Amino acid sequence: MRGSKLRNVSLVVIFALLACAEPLIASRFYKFVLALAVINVIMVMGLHIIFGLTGQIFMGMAGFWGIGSYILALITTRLGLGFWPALLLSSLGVGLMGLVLGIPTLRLKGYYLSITTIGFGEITRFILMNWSPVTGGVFGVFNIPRPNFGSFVFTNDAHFYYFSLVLAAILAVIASILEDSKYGTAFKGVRDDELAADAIGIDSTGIKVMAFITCGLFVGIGAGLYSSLLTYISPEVFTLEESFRFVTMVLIGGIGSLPGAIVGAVLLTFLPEMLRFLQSWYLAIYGLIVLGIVIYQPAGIMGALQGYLDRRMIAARREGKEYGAS
Amino acid sequence: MRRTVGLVLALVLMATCAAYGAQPVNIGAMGAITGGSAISGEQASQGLALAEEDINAAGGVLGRPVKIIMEDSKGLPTGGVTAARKLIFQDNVVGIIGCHQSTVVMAIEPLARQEGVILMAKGSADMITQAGNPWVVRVREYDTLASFAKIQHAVEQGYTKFAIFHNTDQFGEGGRQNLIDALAKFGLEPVTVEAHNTGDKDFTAQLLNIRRADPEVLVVWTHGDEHALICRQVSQLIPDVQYYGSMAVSQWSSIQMAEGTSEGVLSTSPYSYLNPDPDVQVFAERHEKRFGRKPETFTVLYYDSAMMLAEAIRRAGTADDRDKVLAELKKIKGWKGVSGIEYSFDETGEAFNQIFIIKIENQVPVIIDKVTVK
Amino acid sequence: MAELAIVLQQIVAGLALGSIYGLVALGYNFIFNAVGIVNLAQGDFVMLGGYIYGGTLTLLLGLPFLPALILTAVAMAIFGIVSQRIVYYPLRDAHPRMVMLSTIALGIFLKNISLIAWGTYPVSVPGLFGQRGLRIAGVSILYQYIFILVCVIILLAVQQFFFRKTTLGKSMRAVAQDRLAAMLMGIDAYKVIAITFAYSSTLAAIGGVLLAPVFMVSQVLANVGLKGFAACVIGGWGDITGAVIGGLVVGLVEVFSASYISSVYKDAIVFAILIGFLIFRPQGILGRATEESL
Repeated sequence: MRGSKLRNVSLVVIFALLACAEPLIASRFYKFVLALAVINVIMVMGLHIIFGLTGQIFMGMAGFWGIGSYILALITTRLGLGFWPALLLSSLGVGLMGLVLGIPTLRLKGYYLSITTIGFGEITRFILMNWSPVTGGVFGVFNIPRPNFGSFVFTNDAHFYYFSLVLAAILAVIASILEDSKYGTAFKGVRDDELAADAIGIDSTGIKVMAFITCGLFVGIGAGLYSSLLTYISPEVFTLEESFRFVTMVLIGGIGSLPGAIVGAVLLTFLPEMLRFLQSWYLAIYGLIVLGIVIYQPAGIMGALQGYLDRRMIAARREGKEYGAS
Repeated sequence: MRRTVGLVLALVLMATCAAYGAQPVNIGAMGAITGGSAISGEQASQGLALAEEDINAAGGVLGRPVKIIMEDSKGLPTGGVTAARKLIFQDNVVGIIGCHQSTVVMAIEPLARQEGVILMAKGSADMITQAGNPWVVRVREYDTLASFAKIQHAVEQGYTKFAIFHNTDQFGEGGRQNLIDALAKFGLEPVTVEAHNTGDKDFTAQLLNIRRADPEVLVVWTHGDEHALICRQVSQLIPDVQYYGSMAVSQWSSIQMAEGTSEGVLSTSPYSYLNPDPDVQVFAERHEKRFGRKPETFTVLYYDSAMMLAEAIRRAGTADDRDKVLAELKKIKGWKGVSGIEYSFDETGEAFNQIFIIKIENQVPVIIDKVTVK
Repeated sequence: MAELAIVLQQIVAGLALGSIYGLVALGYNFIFNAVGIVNLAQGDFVMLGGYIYGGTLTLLLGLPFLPALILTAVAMAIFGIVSQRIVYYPLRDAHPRMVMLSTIALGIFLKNISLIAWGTYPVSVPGLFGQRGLRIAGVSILYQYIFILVCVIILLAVQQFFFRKTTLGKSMRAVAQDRLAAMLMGIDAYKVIAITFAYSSTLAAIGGVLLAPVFMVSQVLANVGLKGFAACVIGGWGDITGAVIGGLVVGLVEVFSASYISSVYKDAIVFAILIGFLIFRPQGILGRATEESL
């Protein structure tokens, strides 16, 4: 099966499963976790573009996430704007952050880029915590509204879930189209060999900035939904650990695969909740699992699936030939 | 005689069987098990383990055993929100004890109101009980109480020049505001206010700025391990200032970590394991035997909360009608806990209005005064 | 006079902190010099060294300072070889970003396993000097800080000598410059790399042992890793003296920005300077190494 076909089939299957999952899950707790998972799916699609496709280890997701959450929270609660313009602004705002962060980091590669983005995330958190007149500081922002259509408000978690799922599906289609476009090819060119990409005339720095901006636009939407779902946000959430959790989502699913990133996001939202009984052991085991994946299955879940399908296809072909020859 | 003993034994056995055969009553609890404030979570879970034992040794509640389910909030609002939902929707708990972080309490407070679940908050920020949520009660000293008691004590000693040094998290920011308000009540203003972030290790810059302002008193509002390091560095840099710390500085573990440099430090706390009260002593001894260290404030406050909640369930005669349990809980007056404090819930949900002034003398926390407000 | 004492005290504090960061930076540098990768778990190695020394050898077994130090160094050297085998060797031919991810994952594992092994309370050990210090003209300095500075200078000299004069050091440099060529010349590159990790972990262990008395040992101790990294960048990668100078710069910046700009933004300021260096002067202050291989 060709890459993009496998991707499209997987996406349809994944979203169909997610749509069916809500009524099948009885517990209201897991329904909530499911809503969180879809929000993470939206945000991880942003990271997929910059890390999965363009190959830049972006360790500042928490910064994007925090900025997006705060834009929506502050615009709705302080300025009294509605949910929709606020969501749009949080997407555009984080996209702009992508530009601001992207331009100076143009020339950076590998570790240097990662460390710069770590610094960006940490500085963002310090500012959210200490710029109290604007952000409300450590006390956070209360009473963030849920989304609405006219007078219909999504207070019900199930309604909120389907609303987010539809947004996620639309964004997944956009991400797929982007991936198949000439930009997608350029992203991958930069990931696989930056020097070679430069040599064949791809403007690798411009491409990286574009990846940053697109990432910001996606994350802004997810982040806005996040603060709306929780109705209360405070700055200490947006830590380096969270940034790395997003990187891990992409890694587990398979670097470069959109459905992989989505599966990774759903898995890494559910696993910690289902493994709560492990208590303090959970994070240690999590570290080990990530280590194991990096070493033994660097292509992630989707890589394993692709490999399995390829092997089956080869086997089928060989069988077919032998059959034809005899 | 032997028959009576046999009969009693049989009855006890039957009661225990009945208690354990029945579906347990679930009580939720929350604290940081992982993350930067995991110490508080460990203290809490030790208190809760003992409370569960004691409640069930007394036959549980309503003929059913009690199960205390502790979930990890990571000390973060996000972690707290999912943990609270797990407790409420999966475990169907009567109430949630915790979290010890005010931000977490504020994040789960709307959910407790919406679902009608008792929240026995352990955060100290004043706003927790000011949100007007009938489901929230607090079993801990609140910041205004602690800061007022400290400032009043210092003013009584004749001090007039105060410096404030606080953590930048919600606990410290709240403390700073409350300290400034308390000083204003005595017509005073701090000579300087300095801050540090959680996890900072070196405080030289801030302490030197404080030394420049030449205060008589340094009020420090932060957590245990930072207190220990600040005590060490204050003893080097501003040795003649009188140190007033927030609750954690007088905890057993903080005194050990300060390695002798917290001698003479004053603090306010609802608990000292040296409280001569026999209830306090019995519990402290039992805790040390079990866990190899003295109980800390959160240990006893989580323990007392669980015991009071169990009692409220008993009095209400039901674990399912949470309105009734809440009403019974709020009727508790003059309940003597293993912290040495008498708890009486008032209409806002505060459990106590008294606090001890504690001085570290010869490396132990000695109670030197008790302040009661109102 | 009082003001002068304060400024002197600030300088002392900056240098003291800086020598700690420099020590951590030496560990980063050593691996980078030999393998061209950055071990992002270096801070966690420091923490682990502190726990083994403070939590196990000193508090649990009651060993005196010197045996505890030596045992910690040996344990960490072995740990370095083992972790090299796990996080580096299988990925030696993969993209460097995979090594970066594996070292981060190792760091998460170490932080949380030590929470389970040594508990949530910070481990506090008095070390050789406890909280005692010198007082000269209103300036106080802990003996422990003087001790740290002396250790850093000794280690710096040893490392310089090692790289310049010994066969092993020379083969390490050869492996770092071109692994394939070094192997063709008959150097057992992977043995050299294993030794590199062992030595770098030993440096981290010494860092943990020296830091335990002043900072206590807890998960937060691992944060010195990021400061050490900043020191490497500011001093210039691959440059041993640069690492220590970078450390001192970071320490001084931290103390002075906390004193005169903002104590709550001091870490943000260090990060901002770090980013500034990454963008505008990636070769660091001394500017000898190139960044291309990163």
